[in-house]
Amino acid sequence: MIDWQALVSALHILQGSYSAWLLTIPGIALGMLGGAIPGVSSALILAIVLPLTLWMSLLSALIFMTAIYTGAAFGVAIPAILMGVPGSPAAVATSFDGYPMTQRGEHNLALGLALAASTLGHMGAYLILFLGIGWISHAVLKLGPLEMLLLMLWGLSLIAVLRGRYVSRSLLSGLIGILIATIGLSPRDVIRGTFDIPELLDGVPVVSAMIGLFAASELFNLAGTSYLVQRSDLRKVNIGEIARGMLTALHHPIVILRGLVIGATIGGLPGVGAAVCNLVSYAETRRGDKHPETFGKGNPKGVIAAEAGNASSEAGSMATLLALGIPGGASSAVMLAALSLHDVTSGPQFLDQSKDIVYAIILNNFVQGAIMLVLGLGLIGLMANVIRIPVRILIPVILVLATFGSYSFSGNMAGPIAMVIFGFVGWLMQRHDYSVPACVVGLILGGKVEGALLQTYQISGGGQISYFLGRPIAIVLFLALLFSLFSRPIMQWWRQRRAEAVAQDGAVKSA
Amino acid sequence: MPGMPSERQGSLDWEHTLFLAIVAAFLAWYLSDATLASPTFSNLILIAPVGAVAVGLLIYVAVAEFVGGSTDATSETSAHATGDPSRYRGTSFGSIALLMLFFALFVAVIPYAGFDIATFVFMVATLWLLGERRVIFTLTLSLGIAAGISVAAMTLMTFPMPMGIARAIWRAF
Repeated sequence: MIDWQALVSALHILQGSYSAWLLTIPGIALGMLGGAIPGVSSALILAIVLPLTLWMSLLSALIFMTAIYTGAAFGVAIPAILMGVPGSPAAVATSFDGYPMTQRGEHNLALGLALAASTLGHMGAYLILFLGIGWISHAVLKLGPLEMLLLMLWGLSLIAVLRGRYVSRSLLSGLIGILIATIGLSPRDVIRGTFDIPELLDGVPVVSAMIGLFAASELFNLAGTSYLVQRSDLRKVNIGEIARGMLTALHHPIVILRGLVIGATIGGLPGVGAAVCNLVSYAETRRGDKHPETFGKGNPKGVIAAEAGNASSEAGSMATLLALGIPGGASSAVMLAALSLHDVTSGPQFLDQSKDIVYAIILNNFVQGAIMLVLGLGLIGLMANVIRIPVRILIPVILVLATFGSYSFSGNMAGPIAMVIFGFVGWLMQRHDYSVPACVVGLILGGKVEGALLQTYQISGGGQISYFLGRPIAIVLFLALLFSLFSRPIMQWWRQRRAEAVAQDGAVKSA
Repeated sequence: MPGMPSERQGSLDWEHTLFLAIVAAFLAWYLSDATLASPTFSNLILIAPVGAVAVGLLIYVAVAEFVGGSTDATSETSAHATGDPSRYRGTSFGSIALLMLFFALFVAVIPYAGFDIATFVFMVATLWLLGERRVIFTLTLSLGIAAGISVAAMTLMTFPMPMGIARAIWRAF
């Protein structure tokens, strides 16, 4: 479904738009640097630069903003890998294997993996967008709250995977996370668990709580140690190792492909966002792997899957933004504001009449991927030096930056206060083998699941099964979810039974 | 041992018991608050089933704790999920408690002292607590971070952040 005339026109536009090209590099660099600060989201950076776009052409403005978006999608992975502090919920799953790799002294490798997966995921997803923007936007319109609910449940099923030593404690952590996520004003305007504090009406600040659970609790535990990586010979920044990590990512094309398909499709769903793509991609790679028990202990495939899923979600959200005029998340909502500043209303009409602009943005994003590779290599070469800084210096600096990020995200003291409380809770959870990541997954998805569940209940006329049966995509998603959850345990059980039967037969024959 | 998840065979782990009590209190309070706010199906569509399973799991964990050791411990342990206990060896409980206290105080005084002054004092105190004894280095780093944060807050943020003296200095220049 490529419109060749529009494509040629897009190439001409890009050829004459020097300013758009000049803005690409600072945009990516700004996004990467901002994303590397815990709590500073791409939406915040975009909101800060939004007034600047008034002085730019429409194409330059959109390219500058997508460049920031692209850079931030990778930037959030850097603290997740080096310090176990996800820069945003979109990098939560990246920290699961990235940080254990750093602790083993494999930080160079992990950063290389993340950069390559992020770049390939980004470029691959934009290729999907290029080939089928019309089809993607059409498909997104077919998806209702039931389908979104099923996708979120897919993400939520990760709670069962992220178990620690005690299955019951990890499940309890996930459920507590879900309950905490429902605090505040409900979708039916009921106020729950706010203690009459106005700041809690919007719910517990999820990003701040996540930073507290992951970062603050980890930093508390690090007090008394000297460096993030204990062995001095492993505390080196090695560009060769980073490059080796990038090449290693190429050895796992299926993991990248799975991540980018998940990101490009799920990322397009309004309100779902990069965090779900990151988690679902990670969960599916872990479930499909022959050695799922190695995940969470520094398996490179975990980093690749998480980053491919996260980076590719941008293309999905751009598809719904440009083709339908629906923002997929906070970042694309700011981009929608940029479009309106230029008196442009995105949607089917925009896609029809300005396809050359859309193609120009997509083509520029291919180049953004290549630029990110070069800039990212330089940036992670610098950022990886974090592991050479003594922990006694790192702890206060990170805590201050995270507090600043929390405040800037929430806009009031609710963010920093949530960070302190959840930092203490996370530390207690770690001490008693309660899974912190499971709690974070519940926290990120709980509120969204409740909204989608309630909408589905209302639309289906009170949970009528005929509504479900009349939605083929939902049935396919439901079956895929069941297959994803139960195929491996059933196969294992069947193989075990067969092995036992064969052993019994052998024993009978020998007798 | 402080700083380490303890094995709980035979004797009661009071710290874990206290943690379970906090979880139980949260569940009791939140489930009752949500029900009192609106006992309708639509309000409790997610909270009721999740809460019921959570209560069941809490009872299971508590019984396992009091009877003696959880029965569902697996060898398939994710390092990220549990925190590798070996990482916490050598970490003094006193240091952790003081660090938490300093951090809580830092956040508590921000609305009164401002981000700039609170950051400077927190940086100096925490660096000293964690063993940094170079005075010039400590003061320079703390001042640098406080100044950097203040400038970023005053130039980039679209809403005002609490500041002590930084805004006045900024205006003077």
